[in-house]
Amino acid sequence: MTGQNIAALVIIGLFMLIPLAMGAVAGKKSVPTTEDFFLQGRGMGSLAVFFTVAATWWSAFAFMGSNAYFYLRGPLYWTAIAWNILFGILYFVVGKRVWFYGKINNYITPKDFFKHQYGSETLGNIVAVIMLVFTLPYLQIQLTGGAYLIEVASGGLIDFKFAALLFYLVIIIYVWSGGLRAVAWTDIFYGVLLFFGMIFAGFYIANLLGGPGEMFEQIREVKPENLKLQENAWVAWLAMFIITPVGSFMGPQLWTRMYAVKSAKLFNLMPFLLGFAAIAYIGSMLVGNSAVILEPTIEQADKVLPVILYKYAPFVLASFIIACGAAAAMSTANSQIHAMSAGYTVDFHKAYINPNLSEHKLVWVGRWTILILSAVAYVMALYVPGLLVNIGLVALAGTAQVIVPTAGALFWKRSTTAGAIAGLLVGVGTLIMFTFVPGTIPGFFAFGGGGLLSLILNIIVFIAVSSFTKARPESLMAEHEKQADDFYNKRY
Amino acid sequence: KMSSQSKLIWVLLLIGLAAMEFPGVFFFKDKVDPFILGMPFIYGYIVCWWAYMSAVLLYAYKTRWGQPKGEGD
Repeated sequence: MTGQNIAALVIIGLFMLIPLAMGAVAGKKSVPTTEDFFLQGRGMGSLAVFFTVAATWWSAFAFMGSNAYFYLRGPLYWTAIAWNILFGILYFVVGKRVWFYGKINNYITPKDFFKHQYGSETLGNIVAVIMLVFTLPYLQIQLTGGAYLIEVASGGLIDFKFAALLFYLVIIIYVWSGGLRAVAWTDIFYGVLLFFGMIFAGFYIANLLGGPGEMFEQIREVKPENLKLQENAWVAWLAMFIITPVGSFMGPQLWTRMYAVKSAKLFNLMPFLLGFAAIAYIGSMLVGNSAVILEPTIEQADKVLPVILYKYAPFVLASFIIACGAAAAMSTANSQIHAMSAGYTVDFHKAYINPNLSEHKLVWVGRWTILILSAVAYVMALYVPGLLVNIGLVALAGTAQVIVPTAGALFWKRSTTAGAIAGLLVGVGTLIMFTFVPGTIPGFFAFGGGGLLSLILNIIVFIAVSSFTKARPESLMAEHEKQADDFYNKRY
Repeated sequence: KMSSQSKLIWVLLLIGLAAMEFPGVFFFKDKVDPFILGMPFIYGYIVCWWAYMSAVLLYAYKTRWGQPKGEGD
């Protein structure tokens, strides 16, 4: 290991220690209750919410996987600009309502929403299990992405397995220490770095080739197919536009960030902030395309960003931006583990295993859950291969299924518990079949649209079964009607 | 009840999302020239619509998405 490799690892380490110190300070402000540990006492202000949502939403999928897609598949990932805007709109349309019902009914986990809105414990449990199962592969790609960065930064001397283990340990220390307050504070630190780091990296690398225009002209000479959408790419383009924002928005970590908001005003602003921040993708677009010229034979495309930076950018700049990449993976991972831990602790442990556990002991159950879930993700990182974006899309297609009963509860009085359960089972069942049984995706959906097709089937079954099954109890609907009236008349 | 301003915002947003997602893949998928903002056509085309959407979303925020001032936000 050279002196530069050691210095690179020290810089990445320091970047992880600074927010850890912030987390320790945040931990001193926390109180040992589940509402504080999991929702920061529903008192998160505007700045913290924007950055914690943005840093949770922008992950290794965005920071590293996007470069790989631009490198391998040309403009396909550029649909991300539109899906970021759709994500912001979802936060306004659905998020504001979920926040309102969460506030007046004291929901802590996503399961609480479904249990109350549909009056069904079974539906709540199905949703909680779907979220746990499908968030794990998304957590896995954060560990994989972080490990790639450490592996490249060390010049290959720290192998992938050990690098992933290091990443796993840092995540545990973070989340163990201070609950959501620590996670949110560190996300502000990460969010600023991510936005500027991504853009700066892109323009710096493109300028090595004479600027973006000249770089694209060189691609026209050597690989012209990288400048336009490939055959049948429209299926994946549209599927990613729907599945990525909906799946991420329905992830347990985003439910936490809907419940924890202090004021409704923020929901009006979030679509603009999230949509505007999407322009940071111009950085990974320029890096991925520049790599086509600079390094046309990278075997593991997910390593495009660190390989290009360490080879072509000044050492300090490369280390700084790679630390941003580690931050992107870390901020998403700690939020996911935190939300999954809340899901297990409140939805299953407290509900079925030990209902009389004190608040203080419940927080400890949450911490042990964090340890176990992230260990599962670590094992998956070692043994489940694939491009970060491809694994991420399967995970997101799973959590995206939850949008159907969510929208049903909020916007369609005729939606029933039977419809919601049937839709979810069909959606998740077909998604699992499409993922693990080759050749089962019909027609043009086979070109990257399996997740979208499973969501469409979920919607069809949900509407059909709801139309022919018993409506939700009248007393429940009367309560929802009154609460909806309060929402529309802004009685927050 | 949606105000007319609120309806306008939603129409503008739907136009923007449709313009970003559909023409790019169905009509311009083989189009590289002309470069827009120094980028191949599809990249520059989407960036132009991103600017439009950012402006509409800022307008939506400034007008409280077309809703009157609440009693509660």
